[in-house]
Amino acid sequence: MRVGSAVGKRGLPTLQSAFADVVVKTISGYQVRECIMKNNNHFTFSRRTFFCIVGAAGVQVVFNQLADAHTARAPLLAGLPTPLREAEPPSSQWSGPPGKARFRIEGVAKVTGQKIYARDFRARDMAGAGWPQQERMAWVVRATQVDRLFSGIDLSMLPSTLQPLRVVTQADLVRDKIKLPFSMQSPEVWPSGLMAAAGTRPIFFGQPLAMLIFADFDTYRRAKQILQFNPNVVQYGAKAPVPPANVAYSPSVFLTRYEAPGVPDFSQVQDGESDPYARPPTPLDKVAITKRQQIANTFAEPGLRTFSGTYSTQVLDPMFMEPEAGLAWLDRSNPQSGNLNLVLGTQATNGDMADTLGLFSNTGCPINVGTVVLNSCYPGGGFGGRDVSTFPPLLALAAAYTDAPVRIALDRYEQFQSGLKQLDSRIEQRIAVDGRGRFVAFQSSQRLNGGGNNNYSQFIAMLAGYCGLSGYNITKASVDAKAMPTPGVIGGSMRGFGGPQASFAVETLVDEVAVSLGADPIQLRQMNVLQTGQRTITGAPLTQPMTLVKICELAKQHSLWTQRKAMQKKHSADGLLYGVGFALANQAYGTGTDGVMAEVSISIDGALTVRTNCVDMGNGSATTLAISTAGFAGNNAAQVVMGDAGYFAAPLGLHSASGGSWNDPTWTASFAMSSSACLTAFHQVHVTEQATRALFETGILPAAALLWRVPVEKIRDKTSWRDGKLFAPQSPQLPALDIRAIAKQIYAAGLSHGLCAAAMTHALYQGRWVRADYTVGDWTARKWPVDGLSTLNAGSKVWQPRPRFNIMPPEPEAALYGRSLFSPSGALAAVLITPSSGHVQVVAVELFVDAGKVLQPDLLTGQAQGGLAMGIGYALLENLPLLGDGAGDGRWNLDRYQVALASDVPLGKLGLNILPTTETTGKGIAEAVLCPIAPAIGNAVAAATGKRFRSLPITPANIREALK
Amino acid sequence: MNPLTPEIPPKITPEITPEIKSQSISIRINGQMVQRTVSDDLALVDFLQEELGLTGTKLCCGIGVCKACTVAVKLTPQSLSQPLLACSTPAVLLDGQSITTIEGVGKPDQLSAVQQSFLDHFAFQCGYCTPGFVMATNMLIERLRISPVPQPELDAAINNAVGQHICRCTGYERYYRAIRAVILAEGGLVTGVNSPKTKQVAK
Repeated sequence: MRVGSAVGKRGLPTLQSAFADVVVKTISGYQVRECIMKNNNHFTFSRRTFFCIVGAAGVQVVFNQLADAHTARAPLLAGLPTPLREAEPPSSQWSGPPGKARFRIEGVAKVTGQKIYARDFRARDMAGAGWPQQERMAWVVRATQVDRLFSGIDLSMLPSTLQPLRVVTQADLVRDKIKLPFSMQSPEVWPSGLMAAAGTRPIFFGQPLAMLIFADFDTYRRAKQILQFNPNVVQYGAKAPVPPANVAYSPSVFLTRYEAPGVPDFSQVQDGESDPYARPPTPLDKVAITKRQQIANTFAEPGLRTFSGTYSTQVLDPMFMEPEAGLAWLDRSNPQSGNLNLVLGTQATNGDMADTLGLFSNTGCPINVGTVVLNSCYPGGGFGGRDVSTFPPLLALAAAYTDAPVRIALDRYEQFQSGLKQLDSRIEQRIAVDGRGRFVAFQSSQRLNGGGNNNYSQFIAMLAGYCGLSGYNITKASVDAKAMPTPGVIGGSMRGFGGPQASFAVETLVDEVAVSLGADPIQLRQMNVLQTGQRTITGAPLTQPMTLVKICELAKQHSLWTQRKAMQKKHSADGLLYGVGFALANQAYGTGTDGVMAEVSISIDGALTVRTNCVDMGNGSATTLAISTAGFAGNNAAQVVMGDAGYFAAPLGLHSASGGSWNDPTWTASFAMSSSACLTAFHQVHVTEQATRALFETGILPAAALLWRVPVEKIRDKTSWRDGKLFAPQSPQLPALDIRAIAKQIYAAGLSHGLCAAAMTHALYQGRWVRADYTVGDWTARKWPVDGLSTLNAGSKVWQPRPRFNIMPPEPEAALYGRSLFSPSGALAAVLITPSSGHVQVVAVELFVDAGKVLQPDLLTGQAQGGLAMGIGYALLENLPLLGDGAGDGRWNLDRYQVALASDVPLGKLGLNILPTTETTGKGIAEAVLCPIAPAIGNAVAAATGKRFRSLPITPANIREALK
Repeated sequence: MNPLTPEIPPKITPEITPEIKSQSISIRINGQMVQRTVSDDLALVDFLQEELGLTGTKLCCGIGVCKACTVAVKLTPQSLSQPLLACSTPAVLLDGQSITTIEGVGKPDQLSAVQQSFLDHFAFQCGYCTPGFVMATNMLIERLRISPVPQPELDAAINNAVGQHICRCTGYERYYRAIRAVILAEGGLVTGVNSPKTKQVAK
């Protein structure tokens, strides 16, 4: 999710850091900051590297990348093989031939218990960074009722030895003018506040009521044993009915697409955003109202049949394996400008930094925070649940009210009670179908229920709206999508980001249509799917090769489909119900406006390092980026530094202030965004490849020319890599060059010849890559798909932002596309149902995915297999009540919340069918492999039972009831 | 006002003081004897992480459901290792026993066959459940060395060993393939197989 610029103000902020100096230069009339690393050996990366960035209001963010071992900490258990020793350099064993991996780059650490997650860090591990070794523990008391006034907390059940040192309440936050992050806004008519104030009604289940700071772990552990689940801790007063919150989190989405012969097309892209419910309506709104009336009238046309229904999905928990945990310390040694240090596993490095800065930014806030240091760790799973989570602000505040480093380590009950949830949905829709089975008109009203703060709920509803037609070309269609506030636990990102909700609704309805018409469900879909040249619900043109027809053809021919009747008959003899269902998805990847960045550098011994702002949640980003250098540098990277959000802003000299313009050569539409699995294969790989290309053109190739003693112009565009060595095929007399020899030459001639040892690129995708011209020394790149370039000469410590010329910005209407990159997919699912118990077993799945160019097959299939398991949980197992009996009551754990186990998954029976492609780039498929699973299972259950289930999950009790 | 100063001191009733019991224990951990005095309710996972700094054993659910915190325990030096859930077992119960954690299995430059198989099969993603899977698989192999299973029962044996382990990322397929492969590759663990190396399970 895009969270905006990491740099608050263009040009002027002062950049100071313990680890960097700054020079402000003027280039092309614009001030550009150059970040000069104080580390004299910049390319021999220490385990901990320090970088800098300027945030809003002149405060600073320093970013640390934590490696896989604790820092200056002696093993507590001398002699044991422990994870506490200095980390070994990454083993090169992971690396396969150029462009391939034998296993995950971080794999050895993970199989040996050496991989250190945020939960594993203690203050003593941070001694090398100057942290005190004393460590406090914080525990958050949360609301389990929302319809009574919160009176206060009672800790009298704790003996004096177990009392907290400090109780932080909303009164403290109000007194100290703590500023709420954007993601913590309450519904308009409800009181706001990170915590509920005494005497007010908690506005949502799981809302923090107080934060208890304990002296140490042992005190915390004992006190928590007494307090957790104790109904007397939180004191409630008079009843206070929940006032209705009928205003959706803003913005809602109203999409109207109307195409008919003889009249101009109408859509968001072609006409602009419209709101048919606006009062008073604008002229465009009035047109939208008219078009919607015409769509409604279409349903009454003769010869059309209308099918309608209401479909619902449940609240889910991402259930990543590592409950959120972190460390924080506010270093007050400079009382005027404290350093707030965080150790976090997060998908939203940029967002969390910005939010942390913002907490203390109000005038009059007595907590002085001049620098935020974010120590980023590999998260133990994410699935969206760590994307602007509610956890980091609480951790930062714990530090602000504690005299020492403080740790919060949620247990699973607390994670269920407070972690972001997938929004439930209720989707009313109808479709008009002509006599040939063509989808003529469609109307949908999507209501997704978020929790008591907005978080990203409105953007999730937005994507659900964009997915509102699934993969179908329906020229008369309207979709409304709203995220509604509720007193539920806060909803936010989860894998699919609105796509799974919409997919289930549409693909179930379409299946019902097929059954009613007596049509083959796949054939009916094939007649109606989107094809290249057509438009999406927003009106965005589909320029990519569309493969939905091909997916339908493959699925129709598959034996799982062709043999389904015979298999049904066979199992019927055993008293079992068998059915096969199909569903499509045309899931988008990317956010519509995607800013990405990467640095590729080469050391004097020829080792390549990729540095990126994105985070690897386990999906394989680090491995994929490590092999992405092979194209231009002939070799895999030896090291990948992930999640380095703060490093790039100063060297690139870019900003993304709102209201900026492409005429400003230091502006980009999106500087950085949160990490999600679907952003790697296309976006992150692209920008890494381009950074590698820049290094090649400005460092590797000129060095090769020096070694070959030929002018660089003579060999430019005339070399190739083979087995890790550089060749000039048209000049066979020139010997193949090993990258180590080239690297040595880069450093030998770096200063005298201006050879680059590192290059950094930023790229922006909005309907297409923004392109521009650049010149570095002898090399000129024209219409190059990056919008920011900086280079670092070997031996130099000064980054040189390279001005861009002849910018080719996105098409103006591209900002309204919503999404423009798609990974078409489809799934056949076979289920076997035991009527007496109602148990549904998924016995086989065939998944069809257009993944574009496959980068690393093992990672792709792993994503698909994981998506299947999660989809099975979505369809059949996982369920959290939205309100009173839900996770907010603090009593949910894995004994009640059922995720798929191995026995729930058709092991060995998942066929992954990767579509042949002519595309030269990969696609983000993390959501594409998930979205069709649940509706395919639902449709399979319907095929098996003859009963339609419009609500997830489909439980054994549902089945038994339907079969009565 | 100093933000570090509580606005209202919490209410204290000092008469309620639960008795805190501690016990001196000796546990052999990864081959080394460890002696500590610990609270009688301190979970083994907290003992490993807080007292010893051994963070490879992972806490996930804390109630013994997900199996991420699995370690191996031997009641006597001669007995077979048994899986033990570190999240829900008090450390004091291990007094006099021997446990192996993930830190006691292989080394980065000398991986066990199970660890290498998990790598080769891309068996995991985020890796948080991986120590538990490694430990459970090691114990399965240890048992199979004593009591091989007929090949048709291999999948059931694997499921019996790791079927309750939760992995949220990978859908289990690759773990199972990796486990099957490493068992068949060792030879002698499965009866009814012509030659231990002849049936290589495809990746």
